[in-house]
Amino acid sequence: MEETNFIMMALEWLMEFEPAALIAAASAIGAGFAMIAGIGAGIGQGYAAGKGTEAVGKRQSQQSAIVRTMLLGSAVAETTGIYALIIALVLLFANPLM
Amino acid sequence: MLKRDKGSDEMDALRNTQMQIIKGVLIVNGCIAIIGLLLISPALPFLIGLLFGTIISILNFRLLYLTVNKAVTMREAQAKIYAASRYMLRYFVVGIVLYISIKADYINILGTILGIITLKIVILKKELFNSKAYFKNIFKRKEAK
Repeated sequence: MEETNFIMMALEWLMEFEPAALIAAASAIGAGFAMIAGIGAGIGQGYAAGKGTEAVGKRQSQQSAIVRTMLLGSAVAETTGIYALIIALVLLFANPLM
Repeated sequence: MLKRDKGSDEMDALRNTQMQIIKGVLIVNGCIAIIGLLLISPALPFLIGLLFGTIISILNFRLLYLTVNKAVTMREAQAKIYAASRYMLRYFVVGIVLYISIKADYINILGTILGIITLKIVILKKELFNSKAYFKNIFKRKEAK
């Protein structure tokens, strides 16, 4: 039974390493995961720009309103991506746990 | 693309929106600077960070306007690529700014972060949470309104 307890085996394997090395490795993985959020904002902005173009093509007279809405929406979306960047950079270069 | 015609109503409306948001960012960051001056003991790094973050956020907002204004005149597929590539460029600039703030001893990273994210708070306050009716009806069901 003990031989098949993979969780304990993994934990015992992890305990062989230095705690600082484990924290550094986990931080690097966490930073990588955090950066996934940055991709979403980029895809969203591209999609919004495509739809904005379509809307301006349909109603040229409403261009100002479309640009305004897109500008504000994109600014809010971009800040969400920046949060992820902040988390990733803090984990890599100013880690409070190390 | 909307041209810079003086007196054009469309251009004026867009410029007014931008100016209002930039003014809002400056006011909010000014308040944060005063609070930071009172509460944080080495205030100078925090203030430098806040100034740095504010300047970069305003620059980013302006670049975003130029990108959006140009993107709406392109073809759809071209606009998607253009907007996403410009986003990556802006993201890279913010990344460099944050990296410098983390590494430099004379800049406080908290100030830079606050300077950058205030823009979102100002936009949400000005465009979404700008009516009292919104707060009054926030806990009401749609049927009760």
